Order: sequence, then C-alpha cells, then structure tokens
Amino acid sequence: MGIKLPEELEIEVYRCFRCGYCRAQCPVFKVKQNESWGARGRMILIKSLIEGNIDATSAVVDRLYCCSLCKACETSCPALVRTSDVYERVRESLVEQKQAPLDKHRSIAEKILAEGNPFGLPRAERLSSYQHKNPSSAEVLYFVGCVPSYRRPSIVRSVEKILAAAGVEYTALGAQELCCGSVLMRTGQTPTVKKLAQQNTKRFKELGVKKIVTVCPGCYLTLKVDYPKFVEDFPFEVVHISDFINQLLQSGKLKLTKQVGLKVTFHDPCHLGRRFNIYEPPRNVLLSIPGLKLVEMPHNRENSQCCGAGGGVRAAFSDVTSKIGVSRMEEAAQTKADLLVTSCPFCCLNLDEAGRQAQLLPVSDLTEIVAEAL
Amino acid sequence: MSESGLNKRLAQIVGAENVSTESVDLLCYSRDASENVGMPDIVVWPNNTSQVSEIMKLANELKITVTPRGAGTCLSGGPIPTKGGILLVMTRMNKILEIDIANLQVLVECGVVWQDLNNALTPYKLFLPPDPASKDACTIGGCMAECSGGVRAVKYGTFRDWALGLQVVLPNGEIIETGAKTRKGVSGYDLTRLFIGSEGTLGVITRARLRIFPLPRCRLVMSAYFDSMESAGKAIFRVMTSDLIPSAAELMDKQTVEAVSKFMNMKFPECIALAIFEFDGSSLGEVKRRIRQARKLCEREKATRVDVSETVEESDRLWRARKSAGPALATLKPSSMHEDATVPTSRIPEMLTRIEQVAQKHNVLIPTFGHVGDGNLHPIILYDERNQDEKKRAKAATADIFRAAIELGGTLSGEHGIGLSKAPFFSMEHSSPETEVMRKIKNAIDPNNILNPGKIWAGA
Ligand SMILES: Cc1cc2nc3c(=O)[nH]c(=O)nc-3n(C[C@H](O)[C@H](O)[C@H](O)COP(=O)(O)OP(=O)(O)OC[C@H]3O[C@@H](n4cnc5c(N)ncnc54)[C@H](O)[C@@H]3O)c2cc1C
Ligand code: SF4
Ligand code: SF4
Repeated sequence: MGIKLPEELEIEVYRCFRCGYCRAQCPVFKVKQNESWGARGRMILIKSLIEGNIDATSAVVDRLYCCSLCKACETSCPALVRTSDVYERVRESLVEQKQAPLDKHRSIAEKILAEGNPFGLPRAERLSSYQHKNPSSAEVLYFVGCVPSYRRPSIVRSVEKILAAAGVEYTALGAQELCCGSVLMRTGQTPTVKKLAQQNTKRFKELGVKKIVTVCPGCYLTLKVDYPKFVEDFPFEVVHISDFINQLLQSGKLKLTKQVGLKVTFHDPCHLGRRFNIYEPPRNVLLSIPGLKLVEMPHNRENSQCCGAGGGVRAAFSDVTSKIGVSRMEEAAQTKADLLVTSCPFCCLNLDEAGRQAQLLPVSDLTEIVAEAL
Repeated sequence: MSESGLNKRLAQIVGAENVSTESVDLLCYSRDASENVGMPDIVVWPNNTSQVSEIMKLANELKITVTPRGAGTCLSGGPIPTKGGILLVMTRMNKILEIDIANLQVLVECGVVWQDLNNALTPYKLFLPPDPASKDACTIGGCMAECSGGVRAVKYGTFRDWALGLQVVLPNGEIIETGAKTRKGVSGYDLTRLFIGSEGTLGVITRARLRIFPLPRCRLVMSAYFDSMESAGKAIFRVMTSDLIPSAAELMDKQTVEAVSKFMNMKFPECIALAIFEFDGSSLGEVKRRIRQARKLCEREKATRVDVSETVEESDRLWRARKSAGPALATLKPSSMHEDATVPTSRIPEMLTRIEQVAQKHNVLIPTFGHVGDGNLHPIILYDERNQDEKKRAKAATADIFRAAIELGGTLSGEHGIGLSKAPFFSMEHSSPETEVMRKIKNAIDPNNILNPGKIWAGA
C-alpha cells in the first residue's frame, strides 16, 4: 500500500534531485556507508511509496525509522528540501496504516500512557527526584522532563539551585507532570501526543503560569511547535533553559562566582541548534563561568554532529546510536577538552554512555556546570 | 550460476557484510542524480584492489556485467546498472595513501571524497584545483571516470590535466599501473588519459596519482551586471582574451538571477545577465590590479554596474549564490535536467539565443547559467515528471539543445559525461569511423562487454 502526503510535502520529495550532497552529513549514513540508510536513500524509498511501487516492508520501515531527525541533511541540501518534516509526516502516515511504529516505539507509548514516562517507571517516583516549590503567584513553570526526573536527577537539583540563586519564583507539576510526548511525535504516534498535550496544557492553565522553561530541547520543540497544533489555545511562552540562564546572567540576577578551571567543548543539540538556531546563548553562559575555557569541535553550530539518540533511534537501533555517539566523543577528545558540555539531558545521557564505553572524556549538562559555578 | 551461488562467491571475496541483495538496497542504488533508473542484482563494496581484481575475474568468467559506482552524483546515468548484474560501489576504498610535498603530488584510493582530500591538503597550503560543485560528495574515482571540471577549469583545467597515473583493474581482473610519477612522460601510449573520461567502461580505477598545487594566497571576486546578453558576451570575450587570466568566469541569465535572489534571500541589481569573475594570485596588490583592468573592460562593454568583493566573506557569499543556481532553479518545478552542452567560447552569445528559441518552441522553462569562460553552459530544463506531456516536451527540448551545441562546433558534454542520457545523441557529434575506433578499443580491453555496458553509444 502506498502513502499519501499533503501536496506541500509531496513536492519536497520530488524536489530532492538525488544530488547526494547529504551523504557527507548524515550520521546514520556515515555509520552504515549504504545509500538506503542515508537521506537520499530515504527520499528514494518515500517517492517509491508515494508512487505505490513498493510496499512498506519491515526493511523499508526500518530505514525510515533509523533517522534521528537531526536535520544535518537539510543544512547540506542545496535544494533546501525539508527532509525532516517529510520523514515525520511519513512516519505518521505509516502509523495510520498500521505499518509502524516499531515495537520498541509502541511499547514506549504504552509506558507513557500507563505511567506518564517513557521508561514505565512508577508515576510517583517522578516527584521524589526533586522538591518543587509551589507559590501560587509563580509565573514561571519549570517543566522538568522525563530524562532528568528518572535518569539524571543531578540536572534537576542543578536547575533548582540556579533558579533559587537567581531568586526566580517558579512552580512545577510534580507527579502531575506527564511526558511531553516528544518521542511519540518523532515516531509518528500523533494521536497519543494530542492526548498528552491536552492534559499537560490543562494543568499549565490551572496553575495560571505564563512562561514554561524546559531543560530538554525535545520538550522545548514539542511544547513550542507541536502543542499549539493540538490544543485550541496555548497562551504560553516556551523558553529553553540555556536562553533563560543567559537572560538571568545578562540582567545581573544571576552571578557565577566560583572558578571552574576546566577546558570544555560544547555539543550543540540538534533540536536546539539546527531546529531553532539557538547556538550562542549556551556558549555565552559557559563563557560567563570564571576560569572556564571553551574550545570548539570542528563540527559545531549548524555543522554539529548529532549524538545519535534522537528520533527514536536510540530505542530501536541502539547499535547505530552507540557508534554515532562514540564518533562524536572521539571528535570531542581530539580537542583535548576535560569535559564535554551539552544543553540537552538526552544528548548528555547518550554521550556520557558513549564516553564511558570508549573511555573518553566525561559529559555534563549545561545546568550542572552552571550550578557548580554558583 | 544461481543468484545465491554468486552471492556466496562474492561474499568469500569481500566478506558477507560487503554484499547485499536486499531489495531496499537495490532500489536505493538504482538511481544517480540524473533521470535514469536501473536495478542491480547485487551490490558489492570492495575494500582493496585485489578484491576488485578477484571480482572482475569472477564476473568475466561468468559473463556478468559490472557497473562501477562512486558517490552516485553523476548527472548522465553513468553508474546506473541498466543491465542488472553487479554494482561495484567503490566508496569504502577511501584512504589517502601519500601526500608527497616535495614532488607536489598525492596518491589516493578512488573512493576518497574530493572535499576530504582538499581538507587534508589545506594545512600544507596546497590544493587540487579542479573543483566540481558536487565536491562534498563526489569521489576521486568518479571525477577521473567523468573527467570532471568546475568553475576554476577556465584557468586550471579539468581532472585530465592533473592526473599523473592510475591503478586500474581491467575487465579480466588484471591490474595495471598507467603513467609515471614524473610530471613529464612520453613512454608509450597515454593510457592514463584513455581511462580518464571513459565513464567506467574500460576499467575500474582503484588508485590515482594526482598533481597538486600551492593554494593562491588571495582570491577576489567581481560581479558585472549587463542589460543585454550581447554586451555580457562581449565583455566576457574581452576579459578572456586579455592577459588577466581569471580563475573563474561565470554567467547567470535573468531567470537564474531572479531564482537565486528569491532562494537565497539576496538582493541583486536588475539585469539581463550577471557575469562573475574570480582572480587569484600571490599578492593582493597584483590581484587588485587585474580586477581594475577587468572592471574597465566590462565598463567599456556597457556594464550597468560592477562590484568587487573586498572580503573573503563577500566572495564566499557570491560563490554560494552562484552555486545555488541549479537548486534555486529546481525549486521552480518538481523535476529538472541539468545539461552541460559546451561550445567554443566565441559562440556563447549564439548558443544563449538558440537555447531561448528552444525554450519557446517547446514551451518549457530553460534558464541558463554556467562556466562561460570555457564555453560550458548549464541550461536547466524544468518540468513536472508527473505531467507526461510536459515531460515529453522537456525531452524534445533537450535534444534540440544538443543539436544546437553541435551545430555551433561544440560538444554534447563539457563535464557530466555521455552516460545513458546522451547516448542516443552520440552519433550527432561523432562520425561512424570515430565511434568504430572507440568500439575497437572497448572490444580489445573488454571483449565480453561486461564492464558498464550500454553507456556512451546507443546499443552498446
Ligand atoms: C548538484 C551537482 C553538481 C555537479 N557539479 C559538477 C561540476 O561542477 N563539474 C562536474 O564535472 N561534474 C559535476 N557534477 C557531476 C558529478 O558530480 C561528477 O561527474 C562526479 O565526478 C561524479 O563522481 P561520483 O563519485 O559521484 O561518481 P558516480 O556518479 O558514482 O559515477 C560516475 C561515473 O564514473 C564511473 N565510476 C565511478 N567510480 C569509478 C571507478 N573507481 N572506476 C571506474 N569508473 C568509476 C561510474 O561507472 C559512472 O560512469 C555535479 C553533480 C551534481 C548532482
Ligand atoms: S535527519 Fe539526520 S539522520 Fe535523518 S536523514 Fe537527515 S542527516 Fe540523516
Ligand atoms: S542533499 Fe537534498 S536534494 Fe540532495 S540528495 Fe540529499 S535531500 Fe536530496
């Protein structure tokens, strides 16, 4: 069975003129060295699906899901084809036709529906990972996210410390917080995201907040871009923590005084950098830390190389993720930095694991190193 | 031999992980950047020359066709396996074996990507001058097989001018080394140049020894706007026949300028034609002097405006604009054919007029830009492949463009090769005795016609 895309996205598929420029950028292609796992191959497969020349066999579905939606192909694409928009819509369409998602992704959706997080861990444990304050007057909501809550609690503690030091009055949803649904959005499971969007939005409204600060670029993207599509009224300003801290520093509300005598390199998360052009705020924050030296990797900013985890790839193709992660950490090691800093808990988790596996440098989230400098 | 038997034999040679018969892989390897399609039966990724040799011996023994492929950026269907068989993907042979600074040369495996090689040369302030726009992706093997060029060909020539020697695996599996390490050499027939531009039909190129060159210390770009094609053509002629030696001389027509302006969100002055010149050299003063001279020549030919890029960033910006021409035009319609008909430089204005007439006759859009300095134009034929009538008109227009190029004393292809796309027109340019000489050469080297059959001349 073929697939049908909206005309504006179908045109994008036909606009791909198979120049192959994206070969040099696609992290999955670099690992697999096989056209069918790269951006151009995916576009060829999608066109064949549209024209009904092939079926969505499991081999095809694998190729279409083994893509981290990192947008590196888009930066190199001379025709500016919106590949990642096409991929997301294709996945959605495959799910509608019950030819996707992959088992691993389906099980994540089940866990989120059952416990509100992708790990299927008890809902109540989300609260235990931080103490949230709840002044009813707070205009700021700190959206904690699942990875910090369950996998990297030190990020939560760091954010709390930073917000307290800057005297920011904020609130949080505690055990009521639900997964934002980013991983489901990226894997085509839109109807479930819609439900999560409605429930989370209802709670944001009950608290009467105006601004939502997220630490995870995945949450940031989903709340900022996807939620407004799913709920009628989403009157919130969504801010990423790197931007937020940068503003606190510039307005003098936050001061970093402690020396951190480290040489660090910064990894741009794809959902923050290529998606929103947020390149300088995290760097400004790092440069405000006394004693810290920042060195760049050859692949930085719009040319940054993906950590390999996004788009559902880590869940379903862990071997690919781990190879991409190790290659990124090798690049980081070549800068002779003591530490790699990123501004995404998911990149942080993934690169930290890759770094340990290859015995390379340690990895911190931006919030963790900022908290150290307080 | 059964397909699975062949699969096994190939897996013994290169390892099972370097062979695929999965239908998704076959489909993704059935295309290049041209409109052609052809499915291989099996995809093989060799890792070294002796594996290539073993594969060729096996294929020759079994009379199975083999199609070499680099990055598949070809615009004429060269790496499309029209007759099925083995698709030999050379990209895993990607080592830079030697950078010999004393003799200004490199030895590389054929799968090395152009940009990777130049990145490795930059620290030594050296470079490989021929610069295809596809440089981030295309392989040195592909560049050799197509005799690729680029914007700087006008000063530095094409790959043919930089090759000292090749390692080639012949269709029967024998390995030969052509050329010499020396800059000069007249020892026997020039086999290196026989294989360069042979589009993978005579042998599999496994290594190349290439001359490299000191990077010029400075480069400046000048853009000149004209309100008629004729005056642009005259200005280009004047600059090209002066002693100013530009390292690039490019032209964009009105449609191209407008498309680029929209695509790149850049403002350009109103014009019918935009000419871009680059000058390079070892001192800024000297390059500026040449630019001043070139500006005078353009002004004498009634340029409405001339701008000189004072900084590297400005130059880069203009080059990005020029390089986005093809893609920018491609946004106007879902499908496009990128041609490279080439005429003697003095006939450029006539060729531009002929292209305009062809576009009108067949009612298709054909904006044009290209390397006017060497007569190499890129008319882009735009159409929607889902509209059968328009597709037919686009094909007819392409044929007329080839005819025009030949009538003006030019050639079907300046740099993209004949491949499949232009094979039906080959006899327009070459008499039958000429084609016969080529056939005999092919037959002597590949008597079983197993290597990339069906390319260059129709019915091969
Ligand atoms: C957007 C775009 C811009 C381009 N710009 C230019 C340009 O400015 N100048 C230019 O000259 N070309 C240009 N090209 C065309 C193309 O990029 C070049 O021809 C390039 O050299 C092909 O290299 P490849 O590695 O992709 O080879 P492929 O496309 O894989 O193969 C090309 C041909 O070479 C043969 N071949 C490949 N490797 C070997 C080998 N090791 N041994 C024997 N035969 C082999 C194949 O059989 C085929 O016939 C452009 C293409 C695109 C899509
Ligand atoms: S989004 Fe990233 S992983 Fe996906 S095809 Fe593009 S470059 Fe490859
Ligand atoms: S770079 Fe863009 S146009 Fe070229 S093959 Fe990749 S997606 Fe297609």
